[in-house]
Amino acid sequence: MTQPSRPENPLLDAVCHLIVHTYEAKAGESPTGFHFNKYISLINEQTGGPASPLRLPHMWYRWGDEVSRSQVAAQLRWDHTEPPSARVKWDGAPPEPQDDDPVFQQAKMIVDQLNQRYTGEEHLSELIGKVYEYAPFRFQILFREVRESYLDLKGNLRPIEGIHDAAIRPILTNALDAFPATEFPDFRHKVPPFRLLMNSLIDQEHEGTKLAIETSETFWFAFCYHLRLHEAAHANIKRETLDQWHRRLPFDMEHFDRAFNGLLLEAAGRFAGDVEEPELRILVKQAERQQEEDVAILQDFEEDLKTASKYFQAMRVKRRGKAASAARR
Amino acid sequence: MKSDFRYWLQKYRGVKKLPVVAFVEFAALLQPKRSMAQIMGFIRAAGLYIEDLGLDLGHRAVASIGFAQEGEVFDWVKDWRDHVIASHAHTAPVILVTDNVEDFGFLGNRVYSVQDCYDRLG
Repeated sequence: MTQPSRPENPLLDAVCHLIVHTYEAKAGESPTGFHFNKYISLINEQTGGPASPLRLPHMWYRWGDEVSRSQVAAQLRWDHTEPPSARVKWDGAPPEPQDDDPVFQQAKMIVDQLNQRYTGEEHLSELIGKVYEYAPFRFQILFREVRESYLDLKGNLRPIEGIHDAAIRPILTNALDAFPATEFPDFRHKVPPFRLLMNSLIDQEHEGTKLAIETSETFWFAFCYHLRLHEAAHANIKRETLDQWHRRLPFDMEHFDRAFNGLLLEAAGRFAGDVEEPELRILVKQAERQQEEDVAILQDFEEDLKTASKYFQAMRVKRRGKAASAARR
Repeated sequence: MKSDFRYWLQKYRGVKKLPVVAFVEFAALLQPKRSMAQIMGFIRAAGLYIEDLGLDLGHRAVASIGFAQEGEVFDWVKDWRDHVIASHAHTAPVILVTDNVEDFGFLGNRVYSVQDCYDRLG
């Protein structure tokens, strides 16, 4: 059963419904998460941005300007956590009409224009680019080029020798040189190791592609945990949500550190002979030490895990017995 | 947890969430032999993040329990816990990994056994 829309923001509810409904009418399918986020971002921007009566709760995150799903209409249903893979539907009765509101009328005009050009996949990159025009940090625009370049390479059936060095390295260098270090003091020390590893993977050309893409995405996702918390990169987000993002940040960064170490070790395993670059060699050694420490801790819990396993197995048998008895009564 | 799964977890680079309910069961079982610091050391070494239930997941758990109660025998001691745990895997592509696949059949193809992890996630 769908809960009625929260009454706090009927204008936003109506615009959300408008986007989904008109896109479905034009395209014959629900908008992707990409389309939904970009449309509502552009409507927000064109109706006043921070001063927009929409009061859109949104943040800059992995896929550009993204709406905070827990703060918009409860009837909006996303069937995937990641916008590129999600379809967004409206589940339930339409919201209260806002046809008398001039901002809603403006939103209708904007959505009509967007639907004329951007339904479907053909011009999606252009749509994303329109939103990135007002990204708070130039680094985001430049790093998008890195990610998109790798996407383009993934589509190549035949490797082209030298293409990574010629095409990816300059874009990557450009992006990392533009990293806003003073705005992200707690993250900036992650950039040099990332640059080192990426350059060594670029040296491997086609053979390094898969790992380079994973390394690039891992780095980007970790950066975005910091990005969404920056004052310039979110608006109308509830205090408790911001607090939750802050609280989980240390855990998110521990995860990144371990994932990055894993990438370093896998990359090092692919080099013929020793790692040549001295700074990279140091990073690999540190990663090896961390992994050894982690494995030692996990080994130490051998008996604990056996005991836990036996206990949970026994509890399952006991509960199934109780459930069967209850069903018979 | 099967004994070698911990090493697979340690190497797996995707996000690995431990629902807070499962963490409480696990930690309570290991105490008093293990201190909380040691248990958290294990959690970190495996690369796990303990995920709070929170209001959104709570709503999903309630909805899920509501569906389960329609025409079925519902065990309030056991089944509510399973639905609370499963709410952490509410939306694709999140999967639930468990030794106990049959009790989470309501998640469809998003519940994996440990062997499924080895076979499908590498």
